[in-house]
Amino acid sequence: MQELLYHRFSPKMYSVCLRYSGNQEDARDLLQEGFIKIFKNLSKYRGDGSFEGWIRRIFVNTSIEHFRKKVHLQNVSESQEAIIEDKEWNVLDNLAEKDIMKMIHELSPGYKAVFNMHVIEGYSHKEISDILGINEGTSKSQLARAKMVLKKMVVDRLNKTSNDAVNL
Amino acid sequence: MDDVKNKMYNYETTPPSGVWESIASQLDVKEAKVIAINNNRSKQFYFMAAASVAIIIFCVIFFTTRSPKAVKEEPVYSTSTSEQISNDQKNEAETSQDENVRITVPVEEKKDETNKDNDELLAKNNTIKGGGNEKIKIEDFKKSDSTDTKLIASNLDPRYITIEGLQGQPVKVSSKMATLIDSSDESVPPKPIWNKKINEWREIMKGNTLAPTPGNFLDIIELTRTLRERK
Repeated sequence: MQELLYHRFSPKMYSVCLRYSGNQEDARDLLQEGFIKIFKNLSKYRGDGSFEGWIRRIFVNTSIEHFRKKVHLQNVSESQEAIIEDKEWNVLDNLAEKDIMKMIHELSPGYKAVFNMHVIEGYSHKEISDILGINEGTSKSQLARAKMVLKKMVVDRLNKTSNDAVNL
Repeated sequence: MDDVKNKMYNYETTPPSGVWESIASQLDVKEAKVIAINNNRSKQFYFMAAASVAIIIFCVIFFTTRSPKAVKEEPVYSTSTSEQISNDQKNEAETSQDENVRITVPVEEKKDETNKDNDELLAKNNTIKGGGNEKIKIEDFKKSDSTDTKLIASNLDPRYITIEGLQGQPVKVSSKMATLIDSSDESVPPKPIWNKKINEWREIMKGNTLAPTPGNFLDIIELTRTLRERK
């Protein structure tokens, strides 16, 4: 049964681990640790939400735990966050998953964690601030900066592609 | 942004090979450890159970072997008294001039103390020459029925026994003395050896002018015998 569960959910959960860790070695360790936690706590699943949601939450928590051991985010002032928060951004919508994943890997750990939690997992800034032990403002600013970096990456990529096309 | 979310939320990547094997091996190790802990717990439980049984057995043996000793230390009252003497009555019995004979069998007695008591008894027997007090004393014992004398005889094993004296005071005497008293009682079958000795001593003391004391009683008898032999 455990092996069945592993084969059923490991591809999705491995991508979660990859998004948070940024490298395959750490992702592999997180995948292993997460599945051991799941098998040990299977009896605690009460059936309130979807089983996949419960598993994903365990993997996200495991990844964040791993992230917190490595990185300490510094809180930023309100004025800084206000400037960054105003920027709107949706440049990733047209990219393929694989490309988005590569770009996410290039983000710094702090940006990556907040971007993953807020944009992909759907955590609110309040939740993120509670989980990571930072201000809500810091969470917002980290997200805004992550978006800016990603936008720049997309623009650079597009420029490079267009240049390549012109050269051809 | 919703597009990005949906794309990345369901994105799948094939995990590297060998991850499941290492997970399975870790799970096996943890299960084995759990079993080991359970074994230790069960061992502890059996050890504690065995220890408590051993303690209970020890207590039972300890108290059961001690209890007869405690019974021995209790005073044995003469059966000539019909009613049981309670602790309060016991004190009364000790102080009264009642003619009951009380016998106790002490377990440990100091020799000095008993010797002293024997001396006291002998001192009381100083009037043996006159015969008056001696008669009273002998009568005290005679008044108790035959079960008393049997009790005396049955309690000869210990070195000393306690009897109630003329004034109601406890008097400790040796087992030999108890045999003497017992043999002077005419209601029980006579013990010729002691009767003969007592009669002999009585005669000696009657014909003697020296005042006997606990210290010189036997000396007087010995002296008289020597003088008779020389004659």
